[in-house]
Amino acid sequence: MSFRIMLYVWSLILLLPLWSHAQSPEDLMENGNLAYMEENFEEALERYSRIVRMGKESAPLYYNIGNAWYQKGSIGQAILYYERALRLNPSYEPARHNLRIARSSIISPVEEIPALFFQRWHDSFIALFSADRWAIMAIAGLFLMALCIAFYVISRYVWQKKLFFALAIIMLLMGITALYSANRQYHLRYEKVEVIVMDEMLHVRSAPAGSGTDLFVAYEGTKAEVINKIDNWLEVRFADGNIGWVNDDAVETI
Amino acid sequence: MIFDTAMLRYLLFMPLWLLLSGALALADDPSFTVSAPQRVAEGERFRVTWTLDARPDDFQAPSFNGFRRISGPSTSSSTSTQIINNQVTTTVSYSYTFVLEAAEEGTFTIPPARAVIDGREHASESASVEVTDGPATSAQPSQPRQEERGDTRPGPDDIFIRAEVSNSSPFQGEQIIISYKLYTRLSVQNYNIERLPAFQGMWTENITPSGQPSVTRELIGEDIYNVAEIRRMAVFPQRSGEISIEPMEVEMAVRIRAADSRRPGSPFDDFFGGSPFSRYQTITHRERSEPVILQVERLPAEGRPEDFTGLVGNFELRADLSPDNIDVNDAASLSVTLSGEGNLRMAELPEVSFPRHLDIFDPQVTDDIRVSSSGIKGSRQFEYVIIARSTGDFEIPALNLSYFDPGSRTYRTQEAGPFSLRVHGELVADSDAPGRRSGRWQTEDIRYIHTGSVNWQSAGDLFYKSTRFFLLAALPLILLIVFLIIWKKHMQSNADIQGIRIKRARNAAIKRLKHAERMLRDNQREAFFEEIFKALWGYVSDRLEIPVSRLNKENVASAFASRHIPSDLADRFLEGLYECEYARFAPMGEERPMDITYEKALDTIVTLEKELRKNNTKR
Repeated sequence: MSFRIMLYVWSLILLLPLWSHAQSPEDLMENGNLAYMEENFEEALERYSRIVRMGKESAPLYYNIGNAWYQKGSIGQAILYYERALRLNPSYEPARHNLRIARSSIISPVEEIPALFFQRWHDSFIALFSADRWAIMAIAGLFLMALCIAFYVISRYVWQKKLFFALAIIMLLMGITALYSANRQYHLRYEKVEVIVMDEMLHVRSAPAGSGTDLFVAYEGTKAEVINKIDNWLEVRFADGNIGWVNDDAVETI
Repeated sequence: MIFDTAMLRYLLFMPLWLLLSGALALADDPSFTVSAPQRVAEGERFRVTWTLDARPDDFQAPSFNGFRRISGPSTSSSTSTQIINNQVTTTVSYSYTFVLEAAEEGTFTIPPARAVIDGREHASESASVEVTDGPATSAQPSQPRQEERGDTRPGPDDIFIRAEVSNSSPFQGEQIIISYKLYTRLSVQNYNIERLPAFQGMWTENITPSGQPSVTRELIGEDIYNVAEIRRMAVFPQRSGEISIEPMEVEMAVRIRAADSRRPGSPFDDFFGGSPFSRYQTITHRERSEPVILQVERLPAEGRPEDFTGLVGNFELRADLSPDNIDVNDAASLSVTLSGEGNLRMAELPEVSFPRHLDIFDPQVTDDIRVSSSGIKGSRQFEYVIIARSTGDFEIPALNLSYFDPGSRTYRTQEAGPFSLRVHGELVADSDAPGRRSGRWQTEDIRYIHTGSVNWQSAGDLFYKSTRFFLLAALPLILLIVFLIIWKKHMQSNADIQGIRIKRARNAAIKRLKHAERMLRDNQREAFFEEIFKALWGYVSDRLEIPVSRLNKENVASAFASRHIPSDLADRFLEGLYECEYARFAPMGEERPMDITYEKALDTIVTLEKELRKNNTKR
């Protein structure tokens, strides 16, 4: 009898580490934050990345990882994770702020072509919510439109019919706008492949081979859009419009 | 290396001769120099040469008190032309040479000579010559001994190498100078250092002056030696304790008089390699120096500053911040100069603790280290470029340099600064501002991490374009369609109820009116009016949906008004009702014609029906 109890106790003791290893994302996040607060950024990164390996993600997680990398002095990694956080939640203000600060400390001869004002408005409007949020809003718009049509049908008086008709049109427009935004966000997040330069100094080549001519130099932390891929070579377009080939070892996909 | 041709020997010694005669020409102010040996033996003949680098109009030699003039002046001139970048530089040199004989012992001064160049009179410096007590009769002091022995090998006293150490018990890291000198009483034509000592445990630098070594004369014992410094090293011992420096080996070509030659030569022949006509022979001779032993002292542990990095010598630290007043994002430079004598090449930069809000670039190091015969001197400069990232007054703390001063055997610390840097101006949030890669945006830091609760989602888990999304998007449309269908049905049934009631109202009215018609024919007066009354009332009740309980004239009037029925029609209806009521309860004899009432009621109902229908479609 006592042997059996001993067995239980021992198996419990042996299983305890396994149990503590299989922590929930919440616990790991908490632990990572604690390590960060103690300025043990290495440890914080280790715990955060365990969550990522579990297949869980969230904008605050990527944001915290970016902060830890920033504190360690790896600007390229920090920018990568801020961008990842913003992909999940484009309106995540702290990530935008820190991204701007991280960008200000990289060497960046790549000058972004300033977008036209309506393009900027358009982009920032799209970036207000994530694809999912926009999708929910589109569905809400459709519901409201249906409701307005119903009211239009059952109302007895002319002014009521006019009001609900107008409202239905507005709701329809809102729904379409939200649907369009959701689609754009979806494209930006899942279809558009962007990379961050990880090498301190990356020579961008004219051809997908090591023998290609060096066209220009991109520095750590610079963002580029992937437009083509051959083996492990990526054709990328930088914000200034320059296009060239880079090896995918030197960059990290957002 | 033996050169048998006497002429070649002459050529080889020409530079040495020129050096001795001091024929160094300077371009600017005409130089007027004198050269004479410092020390001669009594009875020895020697040369005194004055050299000018311009053609003199007149030259006046001084009187040679204490010497006998043997010959002179013999003049010679040389011209050299240089073309550099199409610029032609011509250097001329004129020399006047006298051969004198030292008549008596003592120190004598050869007074300045005078020369007139371009109408101006110039004077040379005076030269002093020490005449020592030499062999009274011999004009060639070195000659007899070698010849007396009658062999063809130079003896140990004829040629030897001495290593002179400036300080044989230096401190670790202190600069000392080791000078290898060749002493000879014979004529050495050339030499070659076969083996340099390996300076183990020390850091060395060759500071031998370039070109032919200068030859001086030194009196050792009773003999005058020609002395040439063949090697000069600045040495910094790197460890303490006894350090032995191995000897240096030199191979040289020595010209000695052939044993069978008895013809006396002139003293110059002897010194400068002999005349081509005398019978000499050149032999190869090896000589090695004595080993040098150094007792290197350990640097005292007592009083050693913490920032001491091993500098030994005499140093000065200077630092300069310029400008000390800049705009934000502008650059200032802090130059730290370390100058002095000692192991400067090993000097590390003093640590500077800059304030946080300044961006510092790695310093640029500029060396100005001069190697001279007295050792290594000079300066090393570190220049920091400072970029201010925010406004305000910043204080750069004082810099310290610690070194060991071997003279006073103490550690000393030099201090420079502190400096204050004032930064003003607007801070522009300019991402293009030049920055160090590890530099931080100083006035703004990143926001702190997120510590609250988090909505987790699985990677790649997306609502948009998921089945749920499409279902939810379709739902309002489905619901709307369902609603419309239900609504239509409801409306239809609603419309049916109304239709029935209208029909019923009409039928009821028609039935009553038919009944009344029959009463009219039967002349049942009271029943007739009752039927008409009921027909009117019933019709309105059914048609206007007024319950019988609420049927009164006011309600009917307001119902008419709300349905936009012309008031005259309403009046007519009410009149009809009134008529019926009146006729029913009127006394006999005041009968109303029943057929007119019937016609009127029929007309009223038909018109009402028309109006109501009209209104209904209008609505």
